[in-house]
Amino acid sequence: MRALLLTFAALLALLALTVWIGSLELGRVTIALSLGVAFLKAALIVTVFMHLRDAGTMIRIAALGGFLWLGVLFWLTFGDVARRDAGADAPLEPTLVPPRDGKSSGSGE
Amino acid sequence: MSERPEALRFQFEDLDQQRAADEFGMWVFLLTEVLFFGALFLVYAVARWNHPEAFIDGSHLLNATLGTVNTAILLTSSLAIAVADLAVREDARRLARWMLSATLLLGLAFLAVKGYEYLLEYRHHRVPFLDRPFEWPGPDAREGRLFFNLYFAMTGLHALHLVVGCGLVCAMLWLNERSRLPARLTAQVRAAGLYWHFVDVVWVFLFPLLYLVR
Repeated sequence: MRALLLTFAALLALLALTVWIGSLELGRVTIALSLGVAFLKAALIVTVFMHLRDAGTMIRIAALGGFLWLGVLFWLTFGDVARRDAGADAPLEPTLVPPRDGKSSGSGE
Repeated sequence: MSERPEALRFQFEDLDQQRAADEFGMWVFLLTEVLFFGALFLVYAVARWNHPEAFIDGSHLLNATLGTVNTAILLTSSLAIAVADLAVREDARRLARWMLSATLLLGLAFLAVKGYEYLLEYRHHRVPFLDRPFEWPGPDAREGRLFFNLYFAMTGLHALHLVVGCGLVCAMLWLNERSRLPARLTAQVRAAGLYWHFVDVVWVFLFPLLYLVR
């Protein structure tokens, strides 16, 4: 019971922290900080409220697996997306990038 | 051979084994949910990577105060169902009834606030579907539509999960009144709690990603 209440208090404190971070107008640092706080909150909920701290190995593997596969999904996608020169004004549709040697890869060849 | 407890289903050796299987099954289900929501988070990440300014502008159009209130509501509901889980374990049915009721009311309060936000967005022409006019205070209205499409898809899917969660809590309230088998009831409330907390975790990520983009 005590652990539950302490966790709840910590969660509310972290909520206040994330709102405060958002109000600071820090630019690109904001996303890193607020995601960090979100992971901390998620970790508290998962370990205490969802009882992961007293769970067996199988459940720990299942919980870790979720984040692992999600990590692979993001890693492989951003391996592509982050290497394109798409700026803020790039079109929404995916574009064909011409090959490096300058020859066009037009149709009918 | 000793007598089997009534709560023990036929395929299990003992209650410990049954409990382990119950919880593991629920975690594996939640794992598929992580990937279900994960796909949306991925689309969000790619869109935001490509259009950071539009996401900042879009986020400023959302009501961060209501978002904060809703986060607090959901965190409190998680505490309530965690206490209910503990109460059921001690066979304190009265406390469990109170805590499950609190969870349900807080879940409904979240949905009410969310619905009010949707209403405001509908009135202010921020709905990029339903053939409604879409107003965007800037040149990049297409990216604005993208932000609001993602906003409605992600919060909508989350709200749908919360509706299911409320249904589960209703079922737990009913079982709490009439279940004769404490061992079975604890497993049921544990599973419902895991689902509820998972929906809470999803919101913990949605909140800063939608409301606090600066």
